[in-house]
Amino acid sequence: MLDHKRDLKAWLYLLIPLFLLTIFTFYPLIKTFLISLFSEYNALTDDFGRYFDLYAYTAIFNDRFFINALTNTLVIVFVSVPASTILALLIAVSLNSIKPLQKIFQTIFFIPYVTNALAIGMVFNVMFSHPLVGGVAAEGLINTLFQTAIDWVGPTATVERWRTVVLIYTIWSALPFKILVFIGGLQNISKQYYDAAKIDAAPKWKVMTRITIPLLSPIISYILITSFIGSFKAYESVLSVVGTVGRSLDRNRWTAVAYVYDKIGISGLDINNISYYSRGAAAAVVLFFIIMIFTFLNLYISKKTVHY
Amino acid sequence: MEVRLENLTKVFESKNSARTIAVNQFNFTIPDGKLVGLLGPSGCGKSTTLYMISGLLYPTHGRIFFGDEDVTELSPEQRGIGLVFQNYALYPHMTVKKNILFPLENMNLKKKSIEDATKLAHFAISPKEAKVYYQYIKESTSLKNKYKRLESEAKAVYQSKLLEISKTKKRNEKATNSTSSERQSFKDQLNDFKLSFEKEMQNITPDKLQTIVSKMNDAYAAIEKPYQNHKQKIMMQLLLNPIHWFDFNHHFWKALKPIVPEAIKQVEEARYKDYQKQMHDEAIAMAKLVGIEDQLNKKPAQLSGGQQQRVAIARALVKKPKVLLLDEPLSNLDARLRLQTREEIKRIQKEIGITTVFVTHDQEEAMSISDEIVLMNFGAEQQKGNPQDVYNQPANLFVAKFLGTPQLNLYQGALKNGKVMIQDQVVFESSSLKSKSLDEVLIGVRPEGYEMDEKGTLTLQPQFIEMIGRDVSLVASHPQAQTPSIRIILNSDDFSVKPNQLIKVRLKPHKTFIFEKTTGRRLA
Repeated sequence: MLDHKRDLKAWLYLLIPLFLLTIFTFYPLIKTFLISLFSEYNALTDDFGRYFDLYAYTAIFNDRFFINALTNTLVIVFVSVPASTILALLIAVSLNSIKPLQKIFQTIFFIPYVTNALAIGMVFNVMFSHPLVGGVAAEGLINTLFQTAIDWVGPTATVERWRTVVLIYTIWSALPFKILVFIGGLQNISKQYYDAAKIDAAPKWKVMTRITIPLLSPIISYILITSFIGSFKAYESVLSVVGTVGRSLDRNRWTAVAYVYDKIGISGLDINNISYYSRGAAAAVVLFFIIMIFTFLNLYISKKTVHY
Repeated sequence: MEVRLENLTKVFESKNSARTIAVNQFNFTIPDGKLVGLLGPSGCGKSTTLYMISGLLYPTHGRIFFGDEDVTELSPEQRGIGLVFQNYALYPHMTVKKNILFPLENMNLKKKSIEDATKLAHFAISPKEAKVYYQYIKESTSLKNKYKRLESEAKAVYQSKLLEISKTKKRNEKATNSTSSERQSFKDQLNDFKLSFEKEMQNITPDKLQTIVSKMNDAYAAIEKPYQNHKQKIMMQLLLNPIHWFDFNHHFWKALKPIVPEAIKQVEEARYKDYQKQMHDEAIAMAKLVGIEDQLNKKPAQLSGGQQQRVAIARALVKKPKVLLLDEPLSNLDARLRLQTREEIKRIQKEIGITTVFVTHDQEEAMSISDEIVLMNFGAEQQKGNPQDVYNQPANLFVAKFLGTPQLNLYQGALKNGKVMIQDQVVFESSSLKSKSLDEVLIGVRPEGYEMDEKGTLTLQPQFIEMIGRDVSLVASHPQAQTPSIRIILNSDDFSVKPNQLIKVRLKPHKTFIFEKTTGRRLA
C-alpha cells in the first residue's frame, strides 16, 4: 500500500517531464518518421498526401549529394573522434603528471570550450583564407606563415584541403572537454596502483596501456559514445569553417544534417511528385538509425572491454 | 640478503617551509633471512623508513645497503624488492592470475637467462679470457655505482649550501659565499670526479681488453658457426610445414637439441624456451604457496580481505625479490583473520627464507611474528632486539609503555639511598641504583608483576574484577598511580578479592622498572 502510494507520487513528479518530452521529442520523432513515409507530404498545408511508400528513401539514396553528405559525415566521425580522443588522453596524462603550472595549462586548454563555436569557425575561415584574385586581399595567416598560396576553404579548394581544415577544426574544438573529463578520471585513479607498478618494474608504456587506460576505460567509453553521436550530427563546424559567400554551404561540402536543412527549406514536389520535405525527413530518419546502430555497437564493445 | 640502513634521515618540506623530520639518523641492520618488525605509534616514521627501503621515497641523508651494494640511488624496480601495501593495491581490472603474472611480465626473463647462459658458455669455452672480462665488467659496474653515489652526495651538499645562502640573503645578511662561487666549486668537484673515475677505470681495465673480448667472441663463434648452417636448414624445413607454425619455438628446439654443440647448449635452450609457460608455472606455484590456487580467475573485488592479502603477498614474492616489505599488512583484516594471516606470513617467510621487514603499530602483532623488533618514536629508534628481551628489559619509559597489554601501571615515587618508595613505603630495591637519591621517579609495574601478600608494601583499592575470556584482571586504584585505574592480571588463587576491601601486594622485582620522571630514562 505504502509502496503503491510512493509510486503514485513518483509518477506525478515524472508527469511534467514526460509531458514535455511527449510534445517536444516523441511527437516530432514520430511525425518525422511518418512524413518520410508519405512521399507527397506538403509542408505548407501539413497534408500527408495519398501515398504511403518508400519513394522518399529511394530518392535520397539516388541523390549524389546525399551519398556525398554521408561520406563527409563519416570522414568527420571516423577521423576526428579517434584522433581527438587519443590526443586528449595523451594531453591529459601529461598534464596530470606535471605539478607546476598544471592549473594554468588546464585553463589554456579549456579556453576553446567557453568560446562560441561559430565564432571560432569563422576565425579558422579567415586564418585559412586565400584571395581569389591575386593582390586584392592579403593571404590568410596559414598561407603567410608557410609562404604558400593555397586555397584551403574557398570555392576552389579541393576536397582533401577543405576536409583537412574541417578535421583540424573539429579535432581541436573537441579537445578541451575531453581533456577536462580525462583529467578528472585520472585524478580518481589511486596513486597506489602506480606505486605498485613501480615496485613491479613496469616500464612507462606498460603503465599506460595496462593500468591507466583500463582504469580509465569507463570514461573513455563514455567520451567515445557521446562524441561519436555528436560528430554524426556535425553541421555548424563545417558551415562556419568552409562555408562560402553568404554563409551557405556548397552542395559538395554538405554533411548529413546540412542535407536535411537544405531539403526542409524547399516546399513542394519535384517532377516525380516526391516532396522535398519528405526527403529531408527520410534523411533524418536514416541518420537516426545509423546513430542508433552505431551506439548499440559501441555499447556492446564497451561491455566486453570496459572494466567497471 | 642483509639490509643495512646508515644514518637514514627523511625530512619533508612543505610549501610554507615547515620542516618535518619523519626519520632521524636511523641506523639498523636487518639480518639475512630474518623477519624484522618495525613498530611504533602512528607518525613515528616507520612507514617512511619502509618506503625508503623500497625506493618509493628517497632519503634526505644516509645510505641504504642491500648486502654490499649501495642501493640508495636505485629506483624501486632496480632494487628487486617485493612490497605489500596496506590496502594491497591489487590491480582491480586484472584477474588474480594476471595480478601475480604482472611483475614477471616486466622482468624480461628471456634476455636475462640468455645473458646468464652466455656467460657460463664463455667460461666453459675460454675460461682465461672470460675470467678477465667478467671481472672487468663487475669492477667497472661497481666503480660506476660508486661515482654515481659520490656525485649524488656532492649534489645534496651543494643544494643544502644553496638553500643556506638563500636563507641568509632573506635575512639581509651578507652571505659568506655567493651562489656562483658555490656553483663553480660544485662543477669543479664533478669534474674531479669525472677525472678520477676515468683514471680508476683505466686502472681496472686489463691490457688488451679488445683482444681479449674478440678472442672470447671468436672462440664462441667458432663453435657456433657449423651449427648455424644446420640451424638455418632446419628452420627452412620447419617453416615449409604449416603444422609447425603454431608453437614454432617448441618444434624448432626439439629439432635443434640433438645437433647443438654441448658448449652452447644452454644458450640455445634459453633462446627457445617457452617463457610464457615458465611464468605461468611460477605464478601457479606462488598461488599454491599462499593458498589461493582455486581463485586464479577471479577479480580482486570478488575475494575476501584475507584472500586479497594473500594475492598481494604472492604478487610481491613471485619475482623472487631479495627483500620483502610489508606495510601494515594486517590492518584491514578482522581479528580472527589477523591471527591466522600473521601465522601464514610467518610460515611463508620461513619457507622461502626471505629477509622481511614488517611495519605495524600493533605491538602484539609485531612481537608474535618478528625475529627482531625495532621500536620507533619521533623518527628515531628507541630500542631493538629480540621481542621478549625488549619486553623484559625496556630501555626507557616509552618502550615500557608501548609494549604489553594491558599497559604497564605507573606510580609516582621517590628514590632515597637506592631504595624506591611509594608513599614512604619501600617497594623496590636494586644494587644498580647504588645510593642514588631522586625526589621524583616513576615506577612501572607490568600487570603480571603483582603478588598478593599480607605483608605487601603496596596497598590498593580494588574497584571491580574484569573477565575477558580466560583473562581475569583486577581493576584497582592507588593515589600515587598515574592513571585513575590500574590493571592487575590475577592468578586463579587470588579470586578471594572482594571490592571495597583494601588489598596488599608485593611487586615482583623483574617485572618492575624505575624511570627518571623528566627524561623517561630507565634507572633500574
